[in-house]
Amino acid sequence: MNCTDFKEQVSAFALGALESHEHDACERHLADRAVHDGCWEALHQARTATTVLALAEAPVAPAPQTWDAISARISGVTPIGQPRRSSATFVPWLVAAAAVLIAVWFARDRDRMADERSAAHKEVGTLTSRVDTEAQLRVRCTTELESLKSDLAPRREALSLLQVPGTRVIALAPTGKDVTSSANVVWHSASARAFVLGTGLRAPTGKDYELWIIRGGKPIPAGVLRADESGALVATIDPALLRGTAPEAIAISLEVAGGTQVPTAVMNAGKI
Amino acid sequence: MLSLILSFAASLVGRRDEHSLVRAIADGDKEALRALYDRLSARALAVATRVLGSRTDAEEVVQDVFVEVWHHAKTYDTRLGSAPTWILSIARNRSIDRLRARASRARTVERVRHEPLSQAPSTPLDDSVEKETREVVRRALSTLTDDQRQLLELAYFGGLSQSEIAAQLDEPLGTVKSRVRAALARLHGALDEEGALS
Repeated sequence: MNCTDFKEQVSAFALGALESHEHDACERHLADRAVHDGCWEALHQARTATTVLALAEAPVAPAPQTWDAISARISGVTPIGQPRRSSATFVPWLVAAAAVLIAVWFARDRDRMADERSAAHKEVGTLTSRVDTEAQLRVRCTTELESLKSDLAPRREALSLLQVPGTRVIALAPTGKDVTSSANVVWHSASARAFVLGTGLRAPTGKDYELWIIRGGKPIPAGVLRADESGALVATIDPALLRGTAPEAIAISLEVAGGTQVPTAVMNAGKI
Repeated sequence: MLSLILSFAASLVGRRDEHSLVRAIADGDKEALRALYDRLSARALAVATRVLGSRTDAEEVVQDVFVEVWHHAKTYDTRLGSAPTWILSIARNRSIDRLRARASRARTVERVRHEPLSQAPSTPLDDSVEKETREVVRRALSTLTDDQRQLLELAYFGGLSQSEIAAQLDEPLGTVKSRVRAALARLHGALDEEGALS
């Protein structure tokens, strides 16, 4: 096939209306010759004209599940020709590790709840002698239980997010000699949902741990983190901070109580 | 050549163009894939639905299309057309593959014969850009004769080769070939006159 032959067939080639042997011959012609006499231009024109047929159809919005399925199918898969990110190799391990971590939290949470419930019972005993009416007692107990429930909610949500395809776990490694604290971020970029899970994050008096989103090389304050008495925490990251361009890193710093606008002592950080 | 025909160009104002999104996808940027999906999935689904006549199958094709874009963004060749052209071409080809697997071509031929292009109902996706695009496309298609349109639709949406079209229409193969060439040349000429190409 020469360039004239190709251009004779280019319309049918662009439309996909050639027999397979003719189609293959056209592809070979394009691939085999370094210099063409207008073949690529003719093909470009024909394909553009062909696209009009597609554009004549009224657009149909796909179901939301279609993107979820695509997202799941490409999760952890890098495009062909692109070096695989080393972190991707560790993601399943990190997910597993985080799942164990959360399971431990849950176990501890259960124990803590039992302890707190027991404490609440004692308190109820004390209260009974103090309060005048059963109604007051009921209000007090309800408040206590609601508080425990809200404390558990982020843990449940983080665990549930881990099951969603496409969710990544990013380890925030200690940056200094103090390796007592550790933290991970469970992050689902498509839905802009993320949680910080940390241990050993008991802040000294007058200090608070603060979360940072690093985007465009700049740290953006993402809120003060307050762990429980054991130094463990599960906190939701504000979704508004996760939308748009993906952050480059997430970090935790130790700051004056209440947090600052610029991090001074970064304790844990992890690249995304 | 200026962005595809169409007022895709207008829709790109202030946003990353499709070509740069494809480049970002080749670098593993999933957000770029999402942006491209937001922009072109409804078009791809429209093509797949037209070819397959089944929304469920068409949604699966759209999945395949964007997974393929993710895997092969590196191989995208601008000489083959704009990024939307490339993606809609994948959508069409994957739909035809599925159609052939189903071996229900006869039904498609009937559908192509009875469902002319450019008369699809408007959708909530319509906006000024969309309307402008549809108007350019409608005017370009209106320059074709009914026979020419039928020919292009049988090939594009029906997946028929020129030989198969000749058999279906009971016309000589040579006639079909020259009519296909003339139809596409006229379509391209109409776009040129619209100023949709440069």
